[in-house]
Order: sequence, then C-alpha cells, then structure tokens
Amino acid sequence: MSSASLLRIGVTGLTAHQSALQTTGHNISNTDTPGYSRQNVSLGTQTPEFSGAGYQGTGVKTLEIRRIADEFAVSQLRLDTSAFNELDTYLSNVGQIDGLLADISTGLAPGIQNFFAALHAGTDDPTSVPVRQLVLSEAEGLAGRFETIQSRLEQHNNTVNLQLETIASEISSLGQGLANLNKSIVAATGRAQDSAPNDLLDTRDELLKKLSALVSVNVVSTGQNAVDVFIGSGQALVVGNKAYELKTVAGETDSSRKDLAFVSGGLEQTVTSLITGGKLGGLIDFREQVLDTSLNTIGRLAITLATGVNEQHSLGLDLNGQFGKNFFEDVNSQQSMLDRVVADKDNLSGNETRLSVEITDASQLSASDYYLAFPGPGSDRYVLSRVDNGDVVKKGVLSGALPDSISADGIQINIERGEIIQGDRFLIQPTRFGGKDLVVELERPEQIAFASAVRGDASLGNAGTGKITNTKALDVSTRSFSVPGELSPPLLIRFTSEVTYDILDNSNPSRPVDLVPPFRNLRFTPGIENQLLPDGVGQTAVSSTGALAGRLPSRFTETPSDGNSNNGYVDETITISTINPVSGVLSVQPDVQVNAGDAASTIAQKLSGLHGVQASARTKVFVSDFSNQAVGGFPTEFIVNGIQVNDPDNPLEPELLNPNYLADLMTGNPTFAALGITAKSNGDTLTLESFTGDDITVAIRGDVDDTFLLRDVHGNDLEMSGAGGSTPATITGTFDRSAGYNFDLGGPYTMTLKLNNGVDQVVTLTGNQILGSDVAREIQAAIDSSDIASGDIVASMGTDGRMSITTREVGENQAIEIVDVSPALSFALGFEPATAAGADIKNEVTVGGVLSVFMEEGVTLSSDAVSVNGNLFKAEPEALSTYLGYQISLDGAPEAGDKFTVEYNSDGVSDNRNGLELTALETTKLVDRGSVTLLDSYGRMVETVGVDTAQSQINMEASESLLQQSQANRDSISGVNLDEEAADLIRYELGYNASAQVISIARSLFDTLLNSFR
Amino acid sequence: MRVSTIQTFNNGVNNMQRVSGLAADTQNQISTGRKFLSAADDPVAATRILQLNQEIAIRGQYQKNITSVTNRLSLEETVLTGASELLQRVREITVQAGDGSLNKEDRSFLAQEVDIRLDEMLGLLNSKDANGEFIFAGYKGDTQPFVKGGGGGFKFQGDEGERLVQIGATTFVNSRDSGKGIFEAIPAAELNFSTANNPRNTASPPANITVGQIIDKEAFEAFHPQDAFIEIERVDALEPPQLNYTVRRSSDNRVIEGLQNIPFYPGANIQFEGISVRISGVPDVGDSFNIESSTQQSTLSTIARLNDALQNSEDTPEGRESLRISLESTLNNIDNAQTSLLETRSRIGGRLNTLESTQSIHEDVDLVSQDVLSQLQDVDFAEAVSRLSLETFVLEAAQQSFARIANISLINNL
Repeated sequence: MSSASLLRIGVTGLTAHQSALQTTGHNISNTDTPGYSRQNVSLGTQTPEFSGAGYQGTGVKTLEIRRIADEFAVSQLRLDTSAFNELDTYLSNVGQIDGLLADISTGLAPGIQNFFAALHAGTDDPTSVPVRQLVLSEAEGLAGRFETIQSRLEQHNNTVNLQLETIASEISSLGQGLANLNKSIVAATGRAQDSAPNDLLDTRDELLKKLSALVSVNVVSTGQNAVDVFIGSGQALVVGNKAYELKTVAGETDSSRKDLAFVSGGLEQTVTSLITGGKLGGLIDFREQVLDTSLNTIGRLAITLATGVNEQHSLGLDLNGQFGKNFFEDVNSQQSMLDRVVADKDNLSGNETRLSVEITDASQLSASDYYLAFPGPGSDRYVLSRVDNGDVVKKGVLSGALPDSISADGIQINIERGEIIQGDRFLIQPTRFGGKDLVVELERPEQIAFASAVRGDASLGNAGTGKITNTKALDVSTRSFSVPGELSPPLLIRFTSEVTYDILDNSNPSRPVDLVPPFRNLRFTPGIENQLLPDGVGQTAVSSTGALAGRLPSRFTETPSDGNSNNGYVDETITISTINPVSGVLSVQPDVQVNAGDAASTIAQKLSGLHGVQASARTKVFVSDFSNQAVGGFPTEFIVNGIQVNDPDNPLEPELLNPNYLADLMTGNPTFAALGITAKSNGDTLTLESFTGDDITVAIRGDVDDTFLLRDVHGNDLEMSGAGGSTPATITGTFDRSAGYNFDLGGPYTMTLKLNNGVDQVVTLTGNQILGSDVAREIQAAIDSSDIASGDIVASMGTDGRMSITTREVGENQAIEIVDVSPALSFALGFEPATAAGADIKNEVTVGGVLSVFMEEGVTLSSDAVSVNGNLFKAEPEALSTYLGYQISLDGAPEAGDKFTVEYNSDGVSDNRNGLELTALETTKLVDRGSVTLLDSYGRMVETVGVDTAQSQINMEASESLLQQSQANRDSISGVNLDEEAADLIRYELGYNASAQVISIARSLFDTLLNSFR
Repeated sequence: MRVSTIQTFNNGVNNMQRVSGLAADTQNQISTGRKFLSAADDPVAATRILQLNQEIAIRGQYQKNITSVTNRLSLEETVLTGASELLQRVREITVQAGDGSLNKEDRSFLAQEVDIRLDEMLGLLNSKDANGEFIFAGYKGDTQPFVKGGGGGFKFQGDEGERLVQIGATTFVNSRDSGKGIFEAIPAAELNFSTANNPRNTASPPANITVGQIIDKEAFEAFHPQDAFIEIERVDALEPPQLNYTVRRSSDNRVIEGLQNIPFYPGANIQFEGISVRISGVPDVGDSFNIESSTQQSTLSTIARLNDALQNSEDTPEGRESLRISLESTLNNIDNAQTSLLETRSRIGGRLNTLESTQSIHEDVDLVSQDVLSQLQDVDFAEAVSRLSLETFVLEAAQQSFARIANISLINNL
C-alpha cells in the first residue's frame, strides 16, 4: 500500500465526482432548454495494479458523458410533429373558408333569396317602377356578394402564396443551419476521438424538429454523426455540409399561384406535387382540395344564374314593349372567353396560339378544371381530362384546319389561331372567374322584362267554351319575331269542327290566308289543355308540290264511253327515312305505295300510319263563268261526285245557273256534308272543297254550248261543255238480212222482251219479208202489237243489214232485255238473250287533293318520281320548318266556327307571365345536369366545406394528442427531472466529500509517516 | 414511468388550456344563444338549417303575395258590388218606364237619369288601383279599357289577360279578372253583332265604324251567325271615280244584297241584312271594317240602348210596342249582366277562401319549421349553464392542483 496511491485514488474520486456534479449542474441549468437531452456521467474503475495479493483497485475514472436520447422516440416525435402541423394548418385555412361561406352577412344564400324575393314582388306588381328598381338593386347586391366572396377567396390564395414563400425560405435557412451543424459535429467528433458532441447533437435534433413542423423530412445518418436530410420524394435538402435551396416560383400552369421549386445544380425542379407533411403540405392540400373547388363552385353558381336569367329574360317584353336585353352581362364576352385558358409555360407553340372557351350549356358544367393536352403522336391528337380526379373526358383528333373546336361538359374550346405543337398543354378553367364576371347589365327599371311576348284572345262571337290558357315565347330568333313590335304573322285559329282546327295568317283580319307551310286540319282534343303549335325545333312539313298534285287534266273525259275519269295520279313510291337526331342512325320505314288514281285522302291515311308522320289532304276546285244556252235539247245538269246538284225540272231554277244558287243548293244538301264537300260562292266563283282530301269529280250533262270554266289551285283552266246527249238502250242482231227473210218457213219465230224491267212480252214474227226494210217493219209491228206502248221500242235496220231494236227514250234508265229467243229466230236474226241499257253521256273531270305532311325532327320524305317536276311529290321535296318559336295552349270545348287570335303583346304592361317564369328559376334544378337548384348547390358546397372542417378538426385533435404522447415519451426518456437531479447532487456531493476525506486521510497518513521519521 | 419536469409543466398547462377552451366555447354558446357558430361544428345540421331558412324565406314571400292579392281582390269586389247596385237601380228605372201612364216627357227624365248612371258605370269599369293600373284592362294596364265608340256604343280596348301570382309551391291565383269576361261576354237576350275597324287600316286619321243597330230583327236573325265586312274599293271602279265600298260575307266573300261598288259618303247609313251601320271619317282604299255576329252584348251597351230607347220613344201605339219590346229585352240583358257580376264575385270569393286557407297552412308549416330550426340551432340553456359550471369547476381544480404539484421539488429541501 502506498499513500501516494491513496492520494491518487482520492483525487480520482474527487475529479470523477466533480465531473458528475458538473454534469448534474449542467442538467439542472438546462431543465428548460427545449430539445435538451439529459446527460449522464458514466463512471468506471481505473486499471487495477497487480499487487501480489491480487489486483489492487486504483480508483475511479469518468468513462464518458452520455447523452440519454432514444433515436426512435426522437424520430417518432418528428413524424408526429409533421402530421400535426399539416392538419393544423389545413384546419385553420379551411375554417376561414367555412366562416366566410356560412356567415349571414357575407354568405350567398341571403343574397340569392333577396334577389328572388324582389323578383316575386315585381311579378306581383309589374307596373310599379320602385318595385322594379328594387329588383335591380338586389341584383347588384347579389353580384356584390359574389364578388366579395370571390375576392376573399383570391386574397386567401395570395396569403397562401406568401406563406409558401416564407416557409420555403425558412426551410432553406434551416437547411443551411443543419449543414453548418453537420460540419461542426463532424469536426467535433473527429477531435474527440469519436465521442459525440452532445450539445451539438441536441441543437441539431431541435432544428430537425423545427424543420419537420414545416415539411416531412427523411433523416439518414451518415458517418461521424452527420446526417443527410431529404424532403418530398427524395430531393436532398442537406447532404453533408452542403445545403440546397427550396424556393417559390410562379406557377407552371397557373400563374396566379406559386409553385415550390428545388434548386440543385443550377436547375430548378418543380416539386409542388411531391411535397407532403408539415405546414407546407397542409397549405398545398388546402389549396388544391378546398380553395380551387370553392372558387370553381362559386363561379359555376354565378354562371348558371346569369345564363338562366338572361335566357328567360330575353323571351319577355319590358315596359316599353321591347324584348328583354341581357339582365346580367353575357358570360361569353370576348375577354372572359380568353381568360378561361392558360397556356403552360413550357409550351413550344408560343404566344401566337390563341384558344378561348365558350360556355354553351351551363347546366352541364362541372366544378373541375381541365387539362387539354396534345401528347401526340403528331400535333392533332388531343386528350381532355379533369384536374380533380384525372378522368379523361374526351379524346380525339383535330380536323387540322383552324378554327376548330372541342365540346364537352357544357363548354366549347375554340382553337382560334396559331399552331399546336406536340407536347403542348393548356389549363382550362371554365368557372374559376365566374363570381367576378357576374355584373348587372340592365340600367333602368323599365328594362326588366316581366311580360310575355305573345297574347291570345277569344272572339266575342264564339259559341263554345274554348279558352287560350297560355302563350309562351320559346325562341325569339325565329322569323315570327323578326319585325320589332309585331308577330310575323299574327295568327287566327279557326275551328272547323269540335275536333279540328286551322291556323291561318291573320295579317289582314278581313282576309285570313294560309300559312307557309299550311296548318290545316289539325286535331284538337276537347277538355284538356292542347298545345296547338309544333314545338320541336326540327319539325318540318312537306307539301305535295309535284306536277300532278291537285291539277286539272288537259281535257275532260266523256263518260261512260271513254270510261270514268280519275285524278291522274300515277304509281309512285314514297319513302320516309328517319335520322335519329341523337344517335345519327338512319332508319327507313316501309315504303308507301301510291297506286294510280288513289285519292289524296287515302294517301294521307297511308302516310299517317307511319311513325313520326302526320299527313292531311285537301281538295279544292273553282267553277266559274257558267253559260247555259236556253236553246238546245238537253237541260243542263251539274253533277258533283255523282250527285246531281240542280234539278232542271224545278220551275224556280234560274235560266243561268249561277254560283250563288249552286252553292246554296249544295250547302242545303246533307249528302254533300256527309261526304265532307263544301261549296262556297262569292258571287262570281263557286269554290268546291273537300276537307278530307277525297277526289272531287265535276260533271256536266247538257248541250254542247252549255259551258263553264274550271280552275285548279295552281291556276290552270279547263273549259267544260256539255256532251250533248244521252243514248238509248239498243240490242243489235248479228246477221245481215238486207235481202229479207221468210218468217213463214220454219218457226216459230218468237222472243220474249222486257222493256225497262216491265212485264215480259212475247213477240212473234210472221210473213215473208222480201226486203230488209220489210223485216224491220215486221219486227216493229210485232212489238207494237204487244203490250209495249207503240213506238217505245223502235226496230230498224242498220246500213250493214243488221236488225236492231232500240228504246225511243234515252238515258240510263232505259233498258231492253231479251229474256228468251226461239232457236229459229236466233238463227234468223241473230238475237240472243241479252240486256242492254241506255246511258247518260256526261263530260266529267276529277281533281285530286294536295297533301300536307308534318314530320318529326330528323324525318325526311322522298319520292321515286323521275321527272324534274315530280308526280304527286317532287323527288326531294323541300321541307319547310314548322317551328314558329312560340307555343299556344288552348283548353275547353270550342265549337265549329269559333275563332281565336294570337298576336304580339303590345301595351301589355300588366302582364307578369315572364316574371313568373323568372321567379320559377329559384326552384328549378339548373345546376349540375339538372340535379340541384341554385341554393341547394350553394348549400352543398357549404356542407362539403363544413364537413371537411369538422373532419379536419377531429383529425387535428387526434394528431395533437398523438403528438403530446410522443412528446411525453421523449421527455420521459430524455427530459430532466429536477428531483432526480437534486438526488444526484446529494449523491455526488457525498461522494465528493468522501473522496475529499480520503485525500485528507491520505495526507494524515503521509503526515504520520513523516512524523515517524523525526 | 419517468416524468421529466418539463412534462409536468407541459401537461398541466395543456390541460388547463383545454378546459378553459371548452369553458370559453360554452360561454360563447350561452351569450349568442346558438349551438354552433360555424358549419364545421355540425355540418349536417348546418345544411339543414340553410334549407329551412330558405323554405321559411320562400314561404314568407308567398305570405306577402297572399296579402297583396287579397287586397287587389277586395278592391275588385268592392267595385263589382258598386256595379251591381248600379245595375239594380237601372233595373228599377226600366220597370218604372214600363208604366203605361208615362208620356214622352216623363220618359225623357228617366232617360236623363239613365244617362248619368251610364257615365257612373263607365267610371266604375275604368277603375284604377293604387298603382294607377286599370283593374279590368287585362294585360294592358295603362290603356283605358272601356271607351266611348262613335255612335253611342262602347269599345273594349283591353285584352283577356289574367295575372297569376304564386302563393304556394304549385299554387297560382288570379289576382285580377279581365273586363272582357265580366262585362263584355254577357249572353244577350237577342242576337247581336259587334263592329270593329281592321287594325291594318291605313287611313290617318282613321275612319271609324259605329256600333250600329238592328233595324230588322227577322232579317238579321236569318243572317246570324254569319259575319260580314265592308271593303273600300278602288276609286276607278266607278265612273266618275270616287270612293266606293262593297259589302261581302266573310265566310265565302259573297257580295251581300248586291252592295258592290256603292258610292261612299262619310256618315251615310250602310244597311244590309237588317243591320244599319255608319262609317265616319274618310277611309283609304283597301281599308275594311268587320261586322261580327255574336250572341253577347256588353253591360254598357245594354244601358246605352235603354237610354236610346227611352229618348226616342214615341207615344204612338207602334212606339209603345217597340218600347215594350226594348224594355223587355233590356230587363233580360240586365239580369244576365247581374248574373255575370255575381258569378265573378263568387269566383273572387272562392279565391279569397283559397288565399285564406293557404295562408293558414303556410302559417302552420312555418311554426313547424321554426320549431325544427330552433331545435337544430338554439342552445339548450339549462344544459349549457350546467355544463359551464362543471367546466369552471374542473378548471379551478386543475389550476389548484397544478399549483400544488409544481411547488414540490427536492431542490427546495436541499
């Protein structure tokens, strides 16, 4: 044992405990230092000496000063810090939007409600100017609210941009700090022979935690206690002692927002989409998920409101009787259309290329932005996809010639000029700026169009209960509204029966004329509200304009000798083909076969049997210039469709058949009414008309000098004259008996005759007749001696020697019948049992009707007529539009002769029908393909943002408690506990005192040793 | 578990902040009376609240509409009541005039009163509402509906328009009736006709056709229900050239009674088929004037014709007989006119009933909506206050306990 050793042992104890005390003191003074990990002294024994009796301990030494830190707890804390900050930032931003939208003073719902409330008041009292002024004020207030929200949202965007900038520079400077620390740590580690520089490590951990609050980081240890830091998808922020910069740049596709870019090796790489976690991630998420969607939804709301109101407003009349102008500014102004497209910064095509976006159907708009990309190959292939979920909306190929356009989702992208190069991309934002673009264009209250453009009136003379219930303008660009202040033309609706009506052009109320194309014989159902006009834009009508339709032949037919007349129509095949307007598919229906001589009514029926076709027919012929010669043998008989109109035996019949007399006769004859034929006379001309399109046959029986003039609807004339006679009944034998015949040889020569269906008479021939004339005389005598009145049947010999028996009277009621002939007589004269009748000779003409064929949209009619002028129809007859641009509803039970007029609603200042339509917009599902009303769409957005906020609130609270837990975890490992340190103080102080005591004992040992030598 | 000093403080502070945050929220709820302040607090309820508010607003609008329609209809009813009373008085005069002991002079006094009543009636029919709109003019609110036409008759210048007002989601009510239906389209005791200028006439100032009268009942009855028109023909159709007219039947353009190219003199009688009319003013070539048969006679015409008959009555037997006939038909027409007024008033009554019942339905639904709204968004004060006292209690406990623990440290005992 050596006292010096004891001294040394004491000293080691002293220094060791001193170091421990210092460390404890260091811990205590750093209790509140953030990120500090408590340090611990690790003591160990000195190397023992071998002393023969064993190893002698030589004291204590400080092995190391340990930093109590758990890498895993620290990295868990970093992760939780990132997560919490991301959610917290997202929540605070979303919460602001939530507050903005739901607030009464800034939210849209009260604005929209007030606007429609003002419209209601205006609809109730359209002549009041103050009420109209209120409508304009509320509209401006609503536009103001939209603008406020839009600018608040855009301001928010700017704030986000600024925050991104600040955080990016903070990250860059933290990175720089970390790089410097790395350098110091490596140097310090090297100096200390690999023992860790505890405090520097703490500082670095603290910096890393700050960094993770801003963005998610990935920390990788490299040698010598240095770390590399990566962010995003692997971009290096710090490598060794070098730091790289993160900064903000103007947006690649959207210049109103900043993107994050990584600067490395002089190149800038945009990393916005790759950044996650921390405040940065929270801001980017918010911007993409909430801010963009909110701006777009608000914009869509504004655009739908503006287009809906403008469209309805344009159909009405204002206080001055003029059509309503735009209530709000047109959403498709030149500037707005250009603003909706942003070209990518990297596009090769440059500034010459110009695109614009037109809103074509606001109800189809979505709340998403779109990318229009040209990925190639070639520069004509395009892909249109949504930004929010990446769905491809449309793919195709451009035509190559500019201007060209692409339509989808309610928008039409017009490529106006310039050149597209493969690889170009454009950002399409259809609704982004809608909120700002909502501006009231009307300036004066009289310009609000509450009245409807068209009005209907029933005539005071109507006998039925028909009533026009509504008139509505559908399209003010049609010809009907081409003259301001008038309907072109005004209409007269005239009922021809309880279920049919005509619509006529009432420009001159004294003389209404047909419309072009004619609207005749339309069907009406009493007791329900009928829509009187065709309301399809594509509906057309075709008239039979071929050369044969309704035409008089060039000459009349003499009947019955030349057979019966017919209307001259030939075989014709009519084909109806339909192109489905939606699918474009062509389908052909079975051909309609017109047989020669078919009446127009039959053809109309055949056509109406086809799908999408409604045909009606009408026949008309004019008769004038009657001339009835008083001298002459035959009375003039006027026959229509086989029915004799006049009665020549009537003593009151005027010498000159005149149109008035004939018209009255025909009107008074119920047979004609049953056939559907009407007769009218204006004093000069008799107009015969068949409302069903049946043929009209006009015949005259009389002298050759009895004439009249026929005229058809095309103006062609034909003069008809009497045929001049009738024929008797005749039966002629077959043998030439001009040489006479001996009736005494052979026999008996008998025959049985019947005249005019009377009693059978037996006639016997006798005597030897020398000459043919004698034979004739014998026959005459024999007949006269029977009960047949003398002379009623005349026997004669023809120039060819043949004998004939003829009735004395003429006409079709004369008939001879040979009932029975004896064989001898048959041999002699050649008479056989036969019947003969007389005939009335008439000249007759048949006129056919013309057809009017109404067809649904996409239906066309063609005929196989080969000549240029066509048969009934031309080969490709012209289809005229039947769309007048407005609709009339009529209810009740009108009677024949009732009339209704439809005209422009001039002076209609008390009319509020258009106002009713405008107020109905509030409850109409206008938005998103007809699924929600305006207010519901706004409500949906508020709900979505609210749900998002609530969700983020929950998430944030959850991650906050996770963060607190991991913080607690880390603190429980590395945090300083003052009680513990106090205990350590006491412990190490005791140890120090004890070691001091050891030294003191060593000294006294030495003293004792020294004293023993004195 | 090892608890570091920082942790002790952090935990304590966090908890105190959390509880005081809750207490602050509750206090906010109590002071605003609302369960939540932003949609995020309960998004589903927030949307429902938006919808309910909208429904209440729309219903409020309907209530306003109901009030204004009720006012209008009440005004109309008042006017109609006045008209009814007036007609009653005219009826009395008519009956009085049938007294055989009166002579021409007496009847002329009666005629004077009828004249005054006629003007009164005209004024009633041209009533305006508070905004200055004529109530019986249909859509032409700024156009006086009934004006004196030439020849003692009256013309209706309005149209048939009826103004609908929305009082419910699918309920619309007429807020006014057109004078045409009430005063013009009244079934007449006898066959009648109306006259009109063709709106396409070009003469300026326009020539007007008078109301006309029936001079031969049987002839007119034979003509009825045909319509006719008088057309001014080209001057060179006559020699020497002068204005001339032709009368034609509308259905077939047939010339009536040979009246073709008859020389025209303004104000001269044009008579055909038992009708006599006059055209005043100078028309242009091509102008035309329509005569339309009808079975209706307007109220004003009835009174005007009575006036005419009383003024022009003679004391001869034929005069008395024709007066008797006139009075009889006048009585029938007045009765028909009264019926028309009554029908209209009962229609108005029906509408007022509808308005009233709709209003009470709206009120009931409103109550329910308000109730639901209150349940959704109003705070339950009892629950909130007791929650607040709990939270403040917890807060105090947290603060006190924290103060205790924070002080305890071994350092103090060194």
